Amino acid sequence: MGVESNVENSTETLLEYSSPRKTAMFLFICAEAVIFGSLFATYFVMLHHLGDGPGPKEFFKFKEMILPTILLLSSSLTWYLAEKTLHVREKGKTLFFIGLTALLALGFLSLEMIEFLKNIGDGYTLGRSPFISSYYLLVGLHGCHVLFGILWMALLLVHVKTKGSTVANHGRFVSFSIYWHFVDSVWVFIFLLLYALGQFL
Amino acid sequence: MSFFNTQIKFASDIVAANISIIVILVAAVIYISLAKKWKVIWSLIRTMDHRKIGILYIAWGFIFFLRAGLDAMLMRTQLAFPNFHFWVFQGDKYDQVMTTHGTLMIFFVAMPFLIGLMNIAVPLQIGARDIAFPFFNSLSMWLFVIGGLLINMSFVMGGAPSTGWTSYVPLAVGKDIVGNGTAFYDMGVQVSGIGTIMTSINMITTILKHRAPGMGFMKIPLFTWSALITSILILFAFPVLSAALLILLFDNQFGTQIFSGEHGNPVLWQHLFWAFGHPEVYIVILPAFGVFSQVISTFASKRIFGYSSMVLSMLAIGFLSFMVWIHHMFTVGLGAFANVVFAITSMLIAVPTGIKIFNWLFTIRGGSVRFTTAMLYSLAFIPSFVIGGVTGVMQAVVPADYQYHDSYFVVAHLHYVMVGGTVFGAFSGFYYWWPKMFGYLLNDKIGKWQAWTFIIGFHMTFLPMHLSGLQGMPRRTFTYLPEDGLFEFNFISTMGAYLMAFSVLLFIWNVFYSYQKKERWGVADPWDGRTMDWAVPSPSSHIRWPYLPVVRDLENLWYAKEHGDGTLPFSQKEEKRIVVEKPTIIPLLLSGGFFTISFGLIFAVPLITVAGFMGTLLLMAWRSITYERSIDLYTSAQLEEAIRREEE
Repeated sequence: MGVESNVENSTETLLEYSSPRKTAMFLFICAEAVIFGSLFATYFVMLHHLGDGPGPKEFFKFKEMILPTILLLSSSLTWYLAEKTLHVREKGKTLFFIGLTALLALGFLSLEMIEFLKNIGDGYTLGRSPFISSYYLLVGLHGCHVLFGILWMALLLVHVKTKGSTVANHGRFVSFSIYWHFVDSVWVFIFLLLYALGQFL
Repeated sequence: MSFFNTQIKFASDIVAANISIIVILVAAVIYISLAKKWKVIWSLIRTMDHRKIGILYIAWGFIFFLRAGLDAMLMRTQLAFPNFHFWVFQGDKYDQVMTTHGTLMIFFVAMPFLIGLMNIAVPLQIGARDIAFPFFNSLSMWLFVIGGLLINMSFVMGGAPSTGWTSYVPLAVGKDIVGNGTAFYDMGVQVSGIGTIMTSINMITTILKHRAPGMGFMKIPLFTWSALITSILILFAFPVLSAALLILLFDNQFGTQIFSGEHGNPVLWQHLFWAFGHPEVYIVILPAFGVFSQVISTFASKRIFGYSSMVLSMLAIGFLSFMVWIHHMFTVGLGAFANVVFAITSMLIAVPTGIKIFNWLFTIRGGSVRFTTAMLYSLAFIPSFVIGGVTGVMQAVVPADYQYHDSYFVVAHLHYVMVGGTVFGAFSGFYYWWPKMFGYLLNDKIGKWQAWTFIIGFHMTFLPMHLSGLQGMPRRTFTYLPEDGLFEFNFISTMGAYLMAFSVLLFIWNVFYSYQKKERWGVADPWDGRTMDWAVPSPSSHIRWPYLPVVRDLENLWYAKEHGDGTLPFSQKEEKRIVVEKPTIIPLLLSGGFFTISFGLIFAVPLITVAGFMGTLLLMAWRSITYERSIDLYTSAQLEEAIRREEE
């Protein structure tokens, strides 16, 4: 943290460095949103292709999904804190909040895996009916995104630990923030449109 | 022979393909060794230079062009005579060849040709030092190569896809298909699609964030505008295909039944595919429009007529392209209302396209026209594309479309817009930007022979298809009967196809001939150019512009020629942090990871897939950790010094 890094961290350099990354990440999120949008559309088309499987009302266990939802959504807050503490160069706190975010995500993922295993135990396997397939594809793809986010956070942990609050690390945080908040917001849609709305269909 | 649970039969055509692959590979290795070019290859595959990446795009695209062209020759030979039996290309083999031809030509020829040209020209036109993220640029290119290789490999590894480039379900799922064809199609297009989405993000970021000082949106050259709009279309269209291919993969490999089976919905695939597929048509035509705008303006020695209406009409085409996809599905039976709405939106697209055609004509009017090869292609494009556009409007009329549907009329239409638009545009762009790519000009005399044979061959091939289609000849069939009265049309088509093949060989000859002669080597501005791409040396250098050029006009170089000595003014701003990426092999290795994943999924070997995923993730982490070491940082003064040293 000598004089040189202070010069590097001037506002102009940070902006110049982060701005194209931000643009690119937002564009990437556009692409991701289209993928998830297509899978949501597929889900709604498959809503009545039940075969001999269950309908949404008996299939979705709304109450069991409240806890994982709280875990995942609060991880957005802890990530926000991680980003803010990086800006004020409190390395210890940043590491703590990255770890906490990853743990919350891991908790979410474990509960989702339990839900998947329960479903399979109930005989609702991947190929049971088109409706269930489309559910697994959508929620599974989201789960993969959470998993990828956890791996990404592990990497960020290494970066912050070894390099501290550098320009490059700020750029990395900008990219990951956009990704993580997007993954969380997709879950909001899944929770509302699949689990909550499913109770009324 | 059994290969990962897949039967590979050594029929005569497979053996011939295997032998030719081995011969070509051995010849390439011997040539590179004798010419001592291994160092060049090594630096080329690690390059971060947008020009070299563009050249690689075009070179690989050209290789796939030859393969897909060979497929076209096989098909045309099989169709030359009624009830003909050419070699083995009947039935399923014909379907395989036809599918490979379509898939390769659209995803692995048209797209890389145009993306390659974008890579070469866009940064130069907007005064950027490189594409925004050179690493991802290189990765996108290698992912496209991997995708293309997967599609190409399928022929000798248990059967190519045989369900058409649209891969309609339920044909493409379940036990009806032979071999792993659909899986190859699925993964090949998926992997290259990921690369294409990355390119589009890269392009948009470059154009939005890295324009030279003074370049407002209405001072962006038209080719760059077309690149921007195309990239936006890619960004919103390709992910739909990714999702559709993901579902198709699950249907084929993991036992879901979304598209087929007892309870699935095959029409969903059609919706998803065409929601991607129609924007795709404009993705491959808009950059060609951009090339023509540039070429016609340069060789008519005039400013483009109606610049702002050109931009607006491109935006309108891009916008409309997302709301016309049902016109591919008129005969599905979605009801009169849906059909009428989409018929109207489809016809609407003719309006902005018409505006562009007239603007090109008015640009030529009153100009002092120079008939170079690039200009010849642009001029040939206008009437050819109008024919293709008019037949398109004919098919937008729903009741009439019930007659045209799935006939050779559609084949004629799509080739008139794809070849007459995209391929003419690509060739025009090659001749135009060749000096910027390689430093020498392509010979104009051979070029004109090439252009004329290609144009005549093109019309000979596809004009009769309108008539055979109206006679009722269905597309995607491998033969017809003598009493159908189709022989003459098909024979003329076949002769035209041979003429086009001859023309492509002429192009290759021209490249070698001109390389030997190296006429006008290193001329920065051979065409008396108007935009900034002609203000840098030929071939363009990778590190350039320690101080960015200042943009005063849409035709910035022309403005400098008119109001001074033709040199651009440069910004005085001293930049503190100019990032130049060092060459790295990681993009190639990463694409190898994607290849491993695809291989595992295609042959249903989970171990290979998992290994591929692990390798890919580890490489990504490795890249992230070594990022700080993989870039060079310059200030403006240091960059100037580095350029001076390189020149010495």
